[in-house]
Amino acid sequence: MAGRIFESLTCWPHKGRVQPTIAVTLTTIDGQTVVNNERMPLDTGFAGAMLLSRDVFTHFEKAELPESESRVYRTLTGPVPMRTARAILTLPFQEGIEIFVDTPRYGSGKSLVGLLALGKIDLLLHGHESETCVLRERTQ
Amino acid sequence: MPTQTNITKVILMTLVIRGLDEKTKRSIRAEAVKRGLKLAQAVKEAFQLWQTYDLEVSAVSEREANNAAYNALRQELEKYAGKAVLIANGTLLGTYDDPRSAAIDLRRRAPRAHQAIITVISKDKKEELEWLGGSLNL
Repeated sequence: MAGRIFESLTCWPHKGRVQPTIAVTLTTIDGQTVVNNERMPLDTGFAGAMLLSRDVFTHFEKAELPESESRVYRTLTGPVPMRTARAILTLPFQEGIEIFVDTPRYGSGKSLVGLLALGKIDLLLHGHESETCVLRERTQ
Repeated sequence: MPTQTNITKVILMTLVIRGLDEKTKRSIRAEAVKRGLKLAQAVKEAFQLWQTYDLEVSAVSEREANNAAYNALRQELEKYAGKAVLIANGTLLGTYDDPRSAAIDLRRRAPRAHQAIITVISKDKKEELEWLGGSLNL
C-alpha cells in the first residue's frame, strides 16, 4: 500500500486555523435544498453522518424517525438522545446519498460532519497549511 | 302493541356490532369486569375518553401526536415490513415503496404539517453510536 499517489481536487481552510471543515450540500428527501455548499466542521469522534443545530434540523422534521427509533450517542457525560431524520447529503465530487441527520433532543446542538459521511471520501488533513483537501487517487 | 316511543327505546338500548373479532370482544369484557362496569358503561366511558383525547390532541405538539400514533400502531405496522410508512397529523397517511415517495405524498396529503414520521418498517431501528467527547458543549 506504500507509494500511492493522490491529487487534491479542492481544499478549504481550517476554521479559526484549527478546525478542519469541508463544504457540504444537504437536501430534504423530497429535493429541497437546505444547506448549499456550506463549510461545516469535521468531527472524527462523531460516529454518525451529520449532527445539525436545532434550527437547521427543523427543515428535515417532515421525514423524522419515531422517537423510539431515533439514535442515542454514548458520550463521556452519558447518553445523549437525539431526534433523527432522513436527508440527502452531497459531498464534494460525489453523488447525493441518503443519510440520517441528528440533533440533540435537548439543547440547541451544533452542525458537524461525522465519520459515516467522512468514510465516503478521501481526505487530507493538511495541518501545516491549516486546510482540508478532498483527494483522488491517481491510477498511475 | 308498543308505541312509537317504546320502539325507539329498544333500538337505542340494543347495539349490534358486526365484525368485531373475538379477541377484542373478550378484552373489552375483561376490562369492564376489572373496572366493575357493565359492558355498556365501559363502552360509554371509553367513548368519552376518546372524545377527550381528540380535544387534547390539538393541544399537544404534532410530534407528540405522531409518535403516539406510531406507538399505538407499531404492532399492526409490522405487516408492512420493508415499506416506508408516513404518519402526520396524528394519523397513518399511507405506506410507500420508499421514503422519498412518502415525503412527496406528504406535500399533497398534509401540506400544513410541520412534522411527520417517515420510517421503513423493520429496517429503521434504534441505534446507539459513539460520540467521543464532543457533547461537552452542546
